[in-house]
Amino acid sequence: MPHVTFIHGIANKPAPDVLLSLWRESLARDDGLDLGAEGVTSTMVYWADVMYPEPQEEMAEHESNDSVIAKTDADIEMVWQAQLDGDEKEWAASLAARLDFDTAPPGDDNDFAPAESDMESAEFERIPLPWWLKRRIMKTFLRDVHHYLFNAESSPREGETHRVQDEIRRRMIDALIEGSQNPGPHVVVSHSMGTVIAYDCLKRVADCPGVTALMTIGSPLGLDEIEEKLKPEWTREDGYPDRAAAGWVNVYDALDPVAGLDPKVANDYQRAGQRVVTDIKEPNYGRWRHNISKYLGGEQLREALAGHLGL
Amino acid sequence: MAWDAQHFGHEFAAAIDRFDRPETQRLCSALIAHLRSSVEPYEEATAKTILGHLRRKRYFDLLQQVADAFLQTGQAAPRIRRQYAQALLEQGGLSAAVPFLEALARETEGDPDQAFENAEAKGLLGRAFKQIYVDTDNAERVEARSALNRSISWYHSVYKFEASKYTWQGINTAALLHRAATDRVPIDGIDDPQARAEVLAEEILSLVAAKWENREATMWDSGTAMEACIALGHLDQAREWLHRYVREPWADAFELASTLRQLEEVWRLDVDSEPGGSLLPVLRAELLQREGGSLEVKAEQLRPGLLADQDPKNLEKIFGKVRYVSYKFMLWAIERARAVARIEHQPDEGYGTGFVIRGGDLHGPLGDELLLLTNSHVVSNDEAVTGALAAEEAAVTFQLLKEEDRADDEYSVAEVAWTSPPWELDATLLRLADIPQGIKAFPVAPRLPLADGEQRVYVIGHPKGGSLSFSIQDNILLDHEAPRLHYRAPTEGGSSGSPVFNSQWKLIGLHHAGSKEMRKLHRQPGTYAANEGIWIQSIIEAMKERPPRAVGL
Repeated sequence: MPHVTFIHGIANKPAPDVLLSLWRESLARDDGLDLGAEGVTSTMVYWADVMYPEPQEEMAEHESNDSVIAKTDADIEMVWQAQLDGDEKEWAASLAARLDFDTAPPGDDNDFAPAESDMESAEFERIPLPWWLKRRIMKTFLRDVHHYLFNAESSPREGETHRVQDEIRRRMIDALIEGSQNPGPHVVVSHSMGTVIAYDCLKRVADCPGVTALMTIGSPLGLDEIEEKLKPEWTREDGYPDRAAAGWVNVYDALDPVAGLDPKVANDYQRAGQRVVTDIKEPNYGRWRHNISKYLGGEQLREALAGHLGL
Repeated sequence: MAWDAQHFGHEFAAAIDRFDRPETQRLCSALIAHLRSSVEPYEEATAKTILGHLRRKRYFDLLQQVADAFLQTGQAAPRIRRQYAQALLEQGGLSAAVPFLEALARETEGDPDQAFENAEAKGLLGRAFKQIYVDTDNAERVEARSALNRSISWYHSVYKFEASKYTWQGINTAALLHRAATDRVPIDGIDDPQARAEVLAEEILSLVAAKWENREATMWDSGTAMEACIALGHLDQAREWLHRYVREPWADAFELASTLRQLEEVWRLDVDSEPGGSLLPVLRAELLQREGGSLEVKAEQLRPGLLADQDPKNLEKIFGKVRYVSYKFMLWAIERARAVARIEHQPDEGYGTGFVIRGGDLHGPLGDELLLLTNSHVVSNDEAVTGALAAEEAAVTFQLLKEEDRADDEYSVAEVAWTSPPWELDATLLRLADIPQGIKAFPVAPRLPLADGEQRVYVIGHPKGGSLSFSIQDNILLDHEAPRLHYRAPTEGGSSGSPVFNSQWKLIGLHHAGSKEMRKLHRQPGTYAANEGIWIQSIIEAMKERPPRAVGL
């Protein structure tokens, strides 16, 4: 029986079972790929609780699936960044500069957003999000990815402290072991920060089992700062994770603010100097292009996933 | 043991929620036994809740039994009496319901605390007489004319009492006046029923539109406004209100089915002309997709109608993207139903169901030849099998094609190409002497859906007795262990030899049995109420071992 291991991306999420249903429903919607009906089992590697005290409550509207886009007065907490030193501090500053969230919006208007007519440009500056929202997303992303790559401490609830990378790697490896016990194809479908975690485990963790294929969606793996932290296992010429035996499909929307800086990965994750990753441009719609529900509705994505699952 | 009302309430709600009819029935019997043995009448609010649940799931026989027990044991609040009468009505007990409702209407008349129940009782009387008129279907009969007059009079009396509140009764008045005009039935005190119907419809539409503006409109209001637009010939607006109606999360299978019945029976809409052409398919498609929705339709209703020839782009405009997906889902259901046949012994006497399948999908060498698959307990030439029709006794009819006037009525069986006895795979593959044109065989699913309690499967069959009707049932897949699949039907019944589909309308099995005490699979102890089908891939595997006869051998 084929199996899918999902892993989610940045920011807080609803409870694990709700999140898994949402992903499955998004894949199935509009005559899509109905995993349950096709006899495909699936699990979600859930790690939002490593960073957040409790699951996100409301998830009614798909357009607002990510809590980062809720406009609240409280800004994202960045004290952690001030407490860094040495290389780690430099790394965070470098990525922050690339993510460009500290520049002032045009006319100091926090609600400023480029016109929708400019949306098909691949330029990051034209990402069609209001300034306040872009800033929230980028800060959340910087923090989550930093905490994972530097194995920072996180205390989401009183009396509970995790090393972020250790804990999330453990969960990912457990899920991959469980999935690999199925007789059929096993595909990892990862989104956003989840793509960094999936890659990290498949490439860099010794006891990680192999899978049939890896799918990365809206991935920041193309960013130099992230590649830097995946060394020494990662090199440009030999960055491909051989544990993804039958292939790696990378799906992006050029206007996705997380993937958009360097959305394609085939050039940076070669196998023995050859480009082997399939980069698929899957145009989403609307202003918010990092949304997993929209990505999972894409026809090319569904076709590629069905292919690797043998459906 | 002491009665624990709270515990009972939880168990009851849970059984109802998962459409577990046998468990609901068991709980109702326990409740009735408790009522008879206790001294105090049951608490009114709880009694209402229990009856409300039964009504929403359309378990009218249970509703009648439980309401009866409440009434017999001293809980005779007007609402309980009304629910009892509704149960009678829904089961066709019109003659019993009418005097019961008349007494209820009389006793609650003028009591300000019972104004709502009084209106409801009168509304149900309107409905009872409407049903009598529709069922009689003969406007020449004096009884029918009287029923139509009385129905209009009851509905109108409620609407007049407080028009803004009782728009539903108002729209029924308008619908029946329109019908009276079409059928040329004179209505007491009204010279021009059609003109009066239109005046009423205008009035109701503006009342509902005002409610909508104030965000006070309910689901029923949207349905009412849609009917008002039908009365006024405003097709675009009727579609718009229908979309609002089906978007309501509370519009469940019960509500949709009663609206559908109103459009078909009272307004006599059909899919070949507007407004039925674009309203009925939406309603049917939505009904099919509602959880537990079981659609029993006549063959002539199961046609895509005038929309089938439309460009998909136009259809998306008519339906909106989401509704269009529902409509496509229904088109698939229709296409599958075209390949479903009734197997008869005597003319018009169903014996079982079968369906056309592409031979090569079962066994490669059979190629594109179309054959008919059914149960071996329906048709078999194996002498060890008792009770089945012999192949030469069986006549096969395709009800949908028959309606389309495109086929001879009966097809005979040329030979049994393959069979496995009822105690093994309960399957017989028949080669017909001739097979009608235009039938598409089903795609076969290579795998079964997950047995995680969330997957839906669909069974298309000919329910017992209903000669020309199809039942498309929505079931939850409970478990599977090759070669068996277990699924729970929302309603009793089902037909031997029916195809079982996954939620994408790919064939997964051959239905063959149902039992209230089906033994569980995987050596689990105990039984449950379930239907059982044979996994199509198990039949395919068996044919590898023992191939079917090729043609002409």
